[in-house]
Amino acid sequence: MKNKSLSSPNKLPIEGLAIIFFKAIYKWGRAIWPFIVIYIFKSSQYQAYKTHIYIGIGLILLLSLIHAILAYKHFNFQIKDGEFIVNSGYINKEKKSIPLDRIQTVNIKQNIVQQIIGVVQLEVDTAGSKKKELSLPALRKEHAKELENILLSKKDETLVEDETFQEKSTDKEKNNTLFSLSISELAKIAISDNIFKGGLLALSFTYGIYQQYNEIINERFANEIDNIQNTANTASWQLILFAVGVFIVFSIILSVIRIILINFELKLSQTSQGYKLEKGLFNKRSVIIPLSKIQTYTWTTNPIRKIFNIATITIKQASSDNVEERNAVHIPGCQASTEENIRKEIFNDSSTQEYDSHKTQAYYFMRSWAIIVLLPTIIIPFFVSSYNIIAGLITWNIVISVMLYMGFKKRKYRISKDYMIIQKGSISTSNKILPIFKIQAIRFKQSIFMKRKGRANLVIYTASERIAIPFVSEQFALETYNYILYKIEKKNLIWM
Amino acid sequence: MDFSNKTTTIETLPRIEDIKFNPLANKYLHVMRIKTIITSLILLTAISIFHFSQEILELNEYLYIIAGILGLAIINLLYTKISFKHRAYSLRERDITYKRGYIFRSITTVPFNRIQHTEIKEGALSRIFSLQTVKFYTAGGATSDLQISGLNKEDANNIKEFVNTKIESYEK
Repeated sequence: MKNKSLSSPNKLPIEGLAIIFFKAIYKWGRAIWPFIVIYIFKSSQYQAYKTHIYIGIGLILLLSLIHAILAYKHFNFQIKDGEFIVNSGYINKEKKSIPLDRIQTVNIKQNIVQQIIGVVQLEVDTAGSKKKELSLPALRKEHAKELENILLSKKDETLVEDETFQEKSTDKEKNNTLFSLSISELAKIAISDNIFKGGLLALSFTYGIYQQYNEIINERFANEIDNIQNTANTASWQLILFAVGVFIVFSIILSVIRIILINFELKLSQTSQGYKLEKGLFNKRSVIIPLSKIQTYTWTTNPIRKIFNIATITIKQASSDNVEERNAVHIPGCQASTEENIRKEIFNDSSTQEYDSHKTQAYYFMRSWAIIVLLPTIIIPFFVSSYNIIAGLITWNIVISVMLYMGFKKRKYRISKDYMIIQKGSISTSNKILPIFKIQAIRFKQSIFMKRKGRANLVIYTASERIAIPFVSEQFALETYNYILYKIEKKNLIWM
Repeated sequence: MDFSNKTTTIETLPRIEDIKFNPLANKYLHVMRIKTIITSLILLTAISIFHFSQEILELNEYLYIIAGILGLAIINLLYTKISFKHRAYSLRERDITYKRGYIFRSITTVPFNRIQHTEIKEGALSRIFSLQTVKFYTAGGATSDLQISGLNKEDANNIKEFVNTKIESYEK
């Protein structure tokens, strides 16, 4: 790419052929893996079809190879007239183009095959409702970085000389690291986080067991005849509890491993435009987060994280895809002070402004309590008389009631001149901050019953997510509605 | 502007509760009614075919289901009639608002400087009544898109033109 201009069609490097080939194989593998499993376990039964199977596999490989060659030949990309264009397909030709100024995010990713071959995948996303995404499956790393800079600088490559890019990209390399996580730190975070979840579950189960044994002992003395039946009952209960315990431990271990793999060698650094996050072991991911494109910023803590004095940051950029994971950037294990500095840099005057605090009405939580606690408590005893189930129900009621009460205490909406902060959570606490002018649309919802009591719901639509503000006073809802519109419409500020 | 001014400013802000709404074309009520009738007819036919071919349902069970479908259709028709008056839109200098619903009311506003593009759509049934739908696309997925159905052709076009001119003026 150094000497070639991007204004004429560019092919992928030859490694791209291999990547397309492996992607095709992977697709086949996903489609036929049950058959492969059956074949491996019952290979003796299919001895007669051995040749057929090998021919089939051979055909798949051949077809995939032909597909890869054709797809590779017809795949090209260029930047022309301020648009990023990707041509692909050999039977159905497809031309996708995105105007450079509509590009929201550029992601560099690397799955395990791409790591072995030594190429990266570049993904481009816009923020339209009509899904528009472009992906270049294989690029050499330095080219991908150059292209990323060009795409994010919103300029037509033909207008800028190549040397400036060289300088720019070396300039980017010198960025300063804000923080990085070693594997042991990461493990600590993952374990403490999960043990908390697991601990709560374990607690409720221990309580359940305790209740159950109490009852069994009482019953034994009370009625000898029921004894046999009870033992049978206990045995099955113990088995279930054991299975559940194993399941919990297993899922905690899996979740810890998953968190470590995803966040392996996490590094957050500052660039001239914003932040850069790199992480991942098998699937490496590198994301550039330009400050101006951040739609919402959330920081989350929980009692254990508070002891370690760390928070998780979640940043959302505008995306055409509303699937949570796609447009969210998670940065776990960030020191509280670092988190505060990052927040201050993104929304520089957010900490100095004065906030008005509002709450969701207690009625909302009482209604939820009535539905998920009161209603089952009334209905279930009519149908089941087992003490075990009732003990479980009591435990459930206590846990849910406490969670709901904590949720009620924590839910707060704070509004300042320019920002909105939404606080929620039950055991953990999350705070989401967004600049009011970046809101895309707003909805006021009210049933006739709510109108009678002067209550209303608000729904805020940002370019990255939908935020619900349930059961606030009608007056507050309308005032906020009008104020938000005023903030958006007063000045035509660029929101992405 | 200091924040403590907010309460005083807010009283002078344009209020969504004061705006005047324009109703949809009356013909759209027919479209909605016909849609309900067609859906019920399809359901009735399906359940009848099922009943007479499979003989799983008892006759009285079959009649209950028929009565249920008819009952729902009647409730739907009545509610459509009542709530139709509450479907309305309003164009202001800087935004477009659409409200709907009688039991569950909602008001949605999209500012013009957040609209990505607009589109006119026409359903088969609406075409017979020469009605159109205008759709306003915003950033960030389909949930925040605003759609106004049941507009007379010329109204739909006028709204689209008006909004497009506004969008273009913001893009400059």
